[in-house]
Amino acid sequence: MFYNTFHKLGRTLRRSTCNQSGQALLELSVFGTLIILLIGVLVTYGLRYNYQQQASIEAFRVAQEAAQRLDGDGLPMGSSSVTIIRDRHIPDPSNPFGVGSLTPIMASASVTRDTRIDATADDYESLPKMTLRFGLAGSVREEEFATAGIREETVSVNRAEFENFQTKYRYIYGSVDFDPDKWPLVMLSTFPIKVRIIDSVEGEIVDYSSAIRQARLLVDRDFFIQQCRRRSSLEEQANCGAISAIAIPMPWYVQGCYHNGSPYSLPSSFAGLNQAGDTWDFLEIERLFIHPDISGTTRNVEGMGLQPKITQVTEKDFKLHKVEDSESITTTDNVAWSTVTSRAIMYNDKLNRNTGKKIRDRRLRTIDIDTERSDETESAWSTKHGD
Amino acid sequence: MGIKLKIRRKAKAQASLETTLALICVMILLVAVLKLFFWLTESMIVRQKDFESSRVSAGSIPAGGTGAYIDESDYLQLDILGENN
Repeated sequence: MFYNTFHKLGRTLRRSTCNQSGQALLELSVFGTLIILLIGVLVTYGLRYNYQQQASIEAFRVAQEAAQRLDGDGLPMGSSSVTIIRDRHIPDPSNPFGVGSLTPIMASASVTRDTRIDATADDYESLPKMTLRFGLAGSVREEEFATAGIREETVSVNRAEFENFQTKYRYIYGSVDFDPDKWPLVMLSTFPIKVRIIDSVEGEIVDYSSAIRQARLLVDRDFFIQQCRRRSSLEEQANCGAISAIAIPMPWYVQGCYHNGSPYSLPSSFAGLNQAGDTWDFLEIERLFIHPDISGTTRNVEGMGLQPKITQVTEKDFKLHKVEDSESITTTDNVAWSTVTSRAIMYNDKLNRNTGKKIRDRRLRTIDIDTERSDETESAWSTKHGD
Repeated sequence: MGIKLKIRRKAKAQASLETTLALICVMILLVAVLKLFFWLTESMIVRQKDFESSRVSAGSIPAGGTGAYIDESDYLQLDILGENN
């Protein structure tokens, strides 16, 4: 009887105290790890949002300053677009010492001054530009590209259709200037007029879908009427057909096009084809996005501007220095790392950097941007014999 | 009865000890979180306030002049473990 009692007591004691201490320690280790992980995540998110806000604010202020820069005529530029890219050192829970962990922080801003909203560029300096800025204060690299080019053409226009003529140009190209010096003193029924176009397809950085859309507006009357009705009031929509019938000169990038799979020869002045469901292919625009490869072949490029591919190469150097003598052991731990982030910008080197007009149809070029961040940490500790 | 009381006392003592250890760790982590939130408040909210208060002066800069960048040299630095770390 006594044996049974003590045996049961021993089992009860062991079960109750052992289970309770084991359980509490286990919970402490699991939740402690989770809480430390949570702290790491909070630090990462906090740093990222802080740097993102800093970059957004700075991008806007840089764009604001750039819009106030003076052009060749001594007038404010009026508009600018700035993108800031920085590689920031943000440790994360999986890499607590933050060796080589760089996160790209990007922010963009565009500013247009109201007083210059109707201004038309007349040289390279006054063209709308995209600025890409890399790095932190002290090692900033800036690259600037024109997002449109200047093209001039002389057109013979019917006086009765002059208003529709101007509307068609503005619907297709946006920013257009009609040279008033060429307006005749005698009111002829047909007269020549010089047109200066700020054409986005003539820029150093061209957006593929915008270029295709603009080309379609030039040659496809159905498409032009559809777009004209979308942006017009109900009263103006009735005039879209008359506007689309105006013949205007065809630029180089719609020449050599294909209509429904067959080559189509465009006249020098064209109002567009009025066929429902037709398809157009513009080979000159496709050729803008072909880049010569290192091996001598050519390859298609997805888009111009900052390329999506980023390469990061991290070099780490760990050193452990240990000195042991009769009294103590001293250990020094040194971690040095550097990360080089490589990016590329593709642009069409085709504009004269003074006049803003094209000097060649295409020359796709790449600029390589390398930014480097490095850091070094050293820790030392000493242990005396007998400690 | 005496044996059951002994078991309960051992269990309470174990739980109290571990609760103390856990609270020490939790307090350290809580202090770290509070320092992080104070830094975030100082950086993000004060920066936004400075940005909005300097909006008129930045937009009124003369043509060709420099912009009104926000000076962050006086902002609180993130320092969880102490000044020497």
